[in-house]
Amino acid sequence: MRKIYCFGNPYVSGDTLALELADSLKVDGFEFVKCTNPAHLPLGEELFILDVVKGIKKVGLLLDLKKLEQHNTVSAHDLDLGHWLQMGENVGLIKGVKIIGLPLGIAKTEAKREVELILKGLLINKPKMGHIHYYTEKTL
Amino acid sequence: MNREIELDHITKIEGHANLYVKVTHGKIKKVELRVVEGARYFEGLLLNRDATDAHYIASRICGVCSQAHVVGALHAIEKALGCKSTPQTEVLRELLLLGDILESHVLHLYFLALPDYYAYSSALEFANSDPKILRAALVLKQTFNRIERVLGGREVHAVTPVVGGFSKLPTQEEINGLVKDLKKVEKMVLQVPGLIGSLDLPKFSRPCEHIAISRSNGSMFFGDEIKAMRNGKVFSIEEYKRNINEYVDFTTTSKEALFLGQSFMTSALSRLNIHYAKLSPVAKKLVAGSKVKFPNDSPFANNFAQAIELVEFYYRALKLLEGLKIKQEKPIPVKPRAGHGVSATEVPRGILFHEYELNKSGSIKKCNIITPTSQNLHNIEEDVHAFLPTILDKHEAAIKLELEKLIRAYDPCISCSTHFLSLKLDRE
Repeated sequence: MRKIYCFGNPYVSGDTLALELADSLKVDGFEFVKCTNPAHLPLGEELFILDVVKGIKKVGLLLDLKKLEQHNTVSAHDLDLGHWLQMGENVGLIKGVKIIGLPLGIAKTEAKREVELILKGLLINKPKMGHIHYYTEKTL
Repeated sequence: MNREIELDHITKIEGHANLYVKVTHGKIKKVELRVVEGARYFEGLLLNRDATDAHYIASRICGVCSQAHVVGALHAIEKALGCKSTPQTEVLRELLLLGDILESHVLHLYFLALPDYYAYSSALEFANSDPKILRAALVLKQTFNRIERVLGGREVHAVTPVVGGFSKLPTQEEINGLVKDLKKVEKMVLQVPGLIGSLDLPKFSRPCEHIAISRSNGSMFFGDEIKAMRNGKVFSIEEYKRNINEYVDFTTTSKEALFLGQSFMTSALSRLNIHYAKLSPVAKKLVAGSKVKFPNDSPFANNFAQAIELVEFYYRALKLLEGLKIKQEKPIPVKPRAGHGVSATEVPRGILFHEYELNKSGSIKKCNIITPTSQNLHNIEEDVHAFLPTILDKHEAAIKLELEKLIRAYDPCISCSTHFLSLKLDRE
């Protein structure tokens, strides 16, 4: 059973969608785990993450963490999910990350349908199926 | 020469603060540490709330030491309600606090303090130069966060601790899992004091007062008495207001505090200065093998003290977990009543005070919370005052870095204290 780690903030409007989908998505072969902290993520394996992403227009897969905004840790609050994943991958503690990005403000029904399609593609190990949107420099 | 140094937004601390320094004819005329974090009004937010909700609300003061506020609030409220929790509850609360302190020390040492000494802008730079350091940081943080999740239901703002006990107890299997997880990181933990002890710390010391919980009742973290290192005074926590005077400085949004009219420090360094003799043989051996000795008058030694505490508290957590056989017990029921309760808790940055007065319906009538950073702010200003003349011949950028190192050595939690840094150095 592949685990999909769902992140969000239940108190921030617009950032709750991945947590809501964790409750309503039912896809064979996948378990949806709600996370409250990046430290919840296991080390030493490939990770699948579902989260709302600012600055994207379609539901899609982000495979390259370098596409995430880079910032310095100037306070204890900067150790966010993106920074944790970048550090973990850079030192080999995380063996790759696939982030299913949900655009801010997308309707839940549309998001659910799109995520299900991506997961089915991942399940048959064909993540590069034609209908899956990949974030690249051009499509972000 | 006259100079004005302004450190505008001090980084790698928790929260927002600025430092203003005025130097006239080579003499320090003014040092002001200005907390610019918005006022938080937590003591006001708690008024008229049910006593049994206090710990949930108070924990929101901070995302780094939230469990410390949970435990501190619960102890004070239980005193006010006349509730004595079970020995198992106290062990579980201590473990929750240990998870919080261990995780907070890792966060501060690896992600905020260490990059300064390597001249890195962020811990991410260790990925290229010394990935082992970054790996250890991530693994340790994750392991200690897990203690918090198992005990408190999640990593921050615990949900399972309640007045009288725990709404959901960890399973024996989860406790056994934590023992296994902790054993896996023993080597990493033992390497931390060597790493921090090898840093080239600025040569500066200034004798000041240190306070810590006296441990007269045997507990490292929860006590009835506070002990002052230099004047030797021991006072009951109920008398904290007579000894620790909080005051308002209108240049900052944080209250500050004095101990019997003097600035003082409460911290990991204070705990080691006062209780060095009680350290475990393993921790003592690590101190003996280092350049740092206790008692110590250098605030920069606080980082090493945190590293030693990492070892000490790691073994404490392991011992408690290994001895724990979970008994199914429900929280002790409490009835609303009028009452008053004070707690003092050793938390990552020093002593945390929570005080509540309840009315007969069990609502909060008065509340006072004094965080370690509020207590340390005046002492930081005095340290800056004493340290600055030793570095005044350096370039402004170097002065700023050294001052930031000094302030960060305190591991200040400004969000907590507002109820933090930019530096302005004014030279005339």
